[in-house]
Amino acid sequence: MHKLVFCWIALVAVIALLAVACGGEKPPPDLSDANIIELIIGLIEGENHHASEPYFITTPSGAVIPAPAPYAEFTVAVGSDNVTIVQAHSGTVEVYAAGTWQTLEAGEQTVVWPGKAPSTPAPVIPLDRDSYLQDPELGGG
Amino acid sequence: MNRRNRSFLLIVRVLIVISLALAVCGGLVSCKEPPEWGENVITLIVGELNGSVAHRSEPYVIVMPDGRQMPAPAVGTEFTVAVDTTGTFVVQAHAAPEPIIVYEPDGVTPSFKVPQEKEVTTPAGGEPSPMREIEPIDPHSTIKPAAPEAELEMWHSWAGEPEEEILWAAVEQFHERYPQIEIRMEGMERDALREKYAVSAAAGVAPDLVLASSDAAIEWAAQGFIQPLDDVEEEGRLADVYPAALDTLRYEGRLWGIPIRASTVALYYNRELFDEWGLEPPSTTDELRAMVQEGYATLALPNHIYYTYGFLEGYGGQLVDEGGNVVVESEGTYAYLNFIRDLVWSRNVRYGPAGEVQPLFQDYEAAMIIDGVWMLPAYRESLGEALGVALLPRVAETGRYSAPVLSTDACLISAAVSDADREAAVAFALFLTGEDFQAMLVETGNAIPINMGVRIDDAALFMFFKQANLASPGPLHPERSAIWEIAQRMQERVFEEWSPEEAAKNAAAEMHEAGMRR
Repeated sequence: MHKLVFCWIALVAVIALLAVACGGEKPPPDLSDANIIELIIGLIEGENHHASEPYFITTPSGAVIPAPAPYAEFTVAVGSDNVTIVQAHSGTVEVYAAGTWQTLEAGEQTVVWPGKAPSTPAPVIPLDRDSYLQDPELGGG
Repeated sequence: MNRRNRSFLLIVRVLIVISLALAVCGGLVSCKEPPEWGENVITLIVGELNGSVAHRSEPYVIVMPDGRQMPAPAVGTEFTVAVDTTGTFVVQAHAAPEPIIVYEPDGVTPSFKVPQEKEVTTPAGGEPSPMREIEPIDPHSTIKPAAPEAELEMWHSWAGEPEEEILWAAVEQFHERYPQIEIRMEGMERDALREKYAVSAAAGVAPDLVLASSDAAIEWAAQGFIQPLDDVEEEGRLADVYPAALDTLRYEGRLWGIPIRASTVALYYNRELFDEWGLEPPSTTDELRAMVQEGYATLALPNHIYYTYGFLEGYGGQLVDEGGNVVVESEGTYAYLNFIRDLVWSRNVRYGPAGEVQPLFQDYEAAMIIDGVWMLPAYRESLGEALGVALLPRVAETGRYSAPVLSTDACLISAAVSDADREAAVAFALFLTGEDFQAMLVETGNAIPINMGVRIDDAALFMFFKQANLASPGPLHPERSAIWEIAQRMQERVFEEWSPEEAAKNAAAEMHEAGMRR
C-alpha cells in the first residue's frame, strides 16, 4: 500500500512542477531587496549577458522590467508624459504593470501608459535619439 | 523483489529523473545553453535614471555616451546618472558606503570617483569637473536640447550696479557647466539699453538675449521684438519662481520673459523711535491714519502714485485690467483717492518728491517712509540697527493686503533667434533663476530674489520678499508710462478739490484718448 501512496505523491509533484512550467499565474515582481534602476526620463539600451544577481528597471508609468534572460537586447524609453515604451531586439523581455505581465519576443514592443497594463505586443518602431528628442512624449497621440 | 515492484520503482525513478532534469534546466520550459560570462550592459543614451544597489557583485554596468563605464556600485549605494543631449553626463552619489567609480571606456582605467553626497559632471569625452555638492537635476533639462553649441550675444541693464559683478561671475560658472555655450555680454545704462534695443530689434539685429525690466518686456512683446516663453513654464521649468514675479511678464495671456530679480515698495520704519513710543508699525490703514493724524509718528511719502498704488489695489481698484481695458472708474479707485487725500492732508505726513522726503527719514524727522527696496542700502547706512521694514498696512475697509507694484528684471529672448540659440538662452536664464545665483543676489542686500527656495537671513530683505509675494504687476500695458502719468495727474487732482469720481472719470477719458481700450 505504501508503495502506491509514494507513487501518487511522486506523480502529483511532477504534475505540479509541469503546471508551473507551462505558465500558471505568475506573481508580481518582488522588488524588496532588489537592485533597482529607475528610469525617470530618457532612453536606455540594454544587453544582458548573465543572469546572476538580476536587477529590475522601473519607470514612472508603473512598468517593471526584470533583467531579461541572457542574450537579450532591449530598449526602454520614458517620455516627458511618463509613457514608457519597452522594445525587445533579441531574446525575450518581460514587462509587468498594473497586475499584468506581458512577454515580448524579439522584434516586439509594448507601450505602458501611466497606471495601465502593458499594451498588446506590436512590431518595434525604431526610436532613434533625434526623433526622440524632437518628440519626447513617446507613445503620445 | 518481485517483477511488479521492480517495474514500479523504475517508473518512480524515471519520473524523479525527469523532474530533476527539468528543474536543473531552469524555467522548466526549455533548456538553453549556460550563459556566457560577461557584463549586463545598460547604455544611457539620454535622460536620467536613479539606481539603488541591494546585492553584492556587479550585476550590470552603465555605459555613458562617450563609452565611460560605471559598474554597479557597492551595496547600499543610491545614485543618479543623467545624460543631456550633448552627451554631458552627471553622476550623483546620494548614499555611497564606498565612492562610485567611473572607468574610462577600456573598463579598466579609473576615470573619476564620486563620494557620498557629491556629484561630478563630465562633458562627453572631456575632463570631469571637480567634485561638488549635489544639485537637483531637472529631468526635462536632460531631455530637451538645453545645452546645444551656441554663441549668444546678451545685453544687460545692470551696468554699474552691485549686481553686475555677480552677473559676470554667473556667466563664468555657466560656461564651466556648459562649455559649448559662449555668452558675449555687454552692459549699459537702463534707459540707453531700452532705446538701443528697440532700434536694433526694429532693424533685425537685436542681441539673442537681453536682461531688461518687465516694463520693457511688455512694450517689446507688443512690438513683436521678443518671443513668448509659455513652453518653459508649461514644462515646469519655472516651478521655483513665485507667481507674482511671473505675472509681471504676462501680456495678452502669454509669458514673455524669465524673471531674475524683483523690486517693490514696503513700509520702512525707525525701530528706535517706535520702541521709544512703545508702538508697533501700523498693520492696517486705520492704524496708519490714527498715527499720522493724532499720534507722534510722521510719515514721509514720495509724491508719486507708484508708491501708494498698493492701497489702490487694496481698496479693490485698478487702472487697467488684465485684458488691457481701462477700469479706473470704480468704487475701489474712489475709496483709494479719498484715503490718499485724507492721508496726505494729515498733520504728520510729509508729501513731496522722493529726493526731498527721503532725508527726513534718514535724519529721524520722519519715523516711516513708503519706499523701494533699492533704498535699503542707503537707509541701512543711515539708521543701522534702528531700521525696520514692515508690510504695507492692510486696507481696513476691505480686509485686503495692499498690493504694491512689483517690477522685475527678466531675461527676454529675441524673436529672431534660432531654436538652438533659444534653448541655450533659456538654459542661461534658468541658470540665473537657480538657487546659487539667487543666493548671490541676496548677498548684495538690495535685490529681492524670485526663487521661492532661496534662504534670506536679512530680516529687512525677507520682509520685502514677503511683500513681493503679495504684490501686483500693476497695469500690464505697452503704454504703461502713459498710464502712470495719467494716474499721477488723477491723484494730484484730488488735492485740487476735484472729487474722486471726477478725477477718475477724467483719467479714464485721458486713457481713452491715448488709444487704450474702453
